[in-house]
Amino acid sequence: MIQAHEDDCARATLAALAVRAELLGNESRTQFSAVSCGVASGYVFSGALGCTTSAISAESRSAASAAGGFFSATRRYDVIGDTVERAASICSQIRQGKLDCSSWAAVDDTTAEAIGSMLACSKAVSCRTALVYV
Amino acid sequence: MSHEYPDLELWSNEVRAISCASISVEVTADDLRCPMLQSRVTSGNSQDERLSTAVHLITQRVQYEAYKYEGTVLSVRVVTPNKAMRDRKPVVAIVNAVLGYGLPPLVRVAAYCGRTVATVNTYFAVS
Repeated sequence: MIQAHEDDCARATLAALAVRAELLGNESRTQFSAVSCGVASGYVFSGALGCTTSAISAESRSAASAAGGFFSATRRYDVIGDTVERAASICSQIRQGKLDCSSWAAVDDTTAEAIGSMLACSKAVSCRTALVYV
Repeated sequence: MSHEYPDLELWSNEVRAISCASISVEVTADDLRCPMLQSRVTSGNSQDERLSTAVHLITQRVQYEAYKYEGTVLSVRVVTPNKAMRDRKPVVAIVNAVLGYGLPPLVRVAAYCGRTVATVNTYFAVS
């Protein structure tokens, strides 16, 4: 298994909490009213994804422009997999109010298990989600 | 400023174990009216201009915190909320950022330099 750091789970959680704290601001520096973050860990496919612009027909490009949208069919480095979907799903649950995380980050069970000894991890709020506070 | 980058096709396609952080910021009409944001608007003062400035501010914050912990900003996207997403709140846009932790150092460097990896797709269709 290839990993960049041994504590990638903790780094991701700390970064999410830091972004959240920065964007929410404080009493003297109000910025954005609602910021939600979810963290998930697991296997993903990483690599160059998408097609090159030259592989797209000119008709498709002009149709996208005519519709008022942006043309984003570019080849770039990205990751895909269940892990990405799970993080987005946790984030979406917070935004919809299904998880109450006023000052916490919601992480999946894999992440909670990995960071359990490093960060304060509360009881699981559901069978697959835990809350982390720093 | 010029940098030498390997070709995108040379980066290996592989299955990796990573931690993925998804961050979602709801930008409301009230957020766009706050004095802090208005003081940063460089040209014009329409809602689109303020939203553009807000997205720029959010992107900066996300990048700074992501790189501080040696991660990668995989994407920052702006979506226009539909009726269900607004949920009776005056949300004009939702900014979704995805961070990756566990990716190769080369990807982090390229993302930090704003080349290839981190694309910021902004699509303003504020209703």
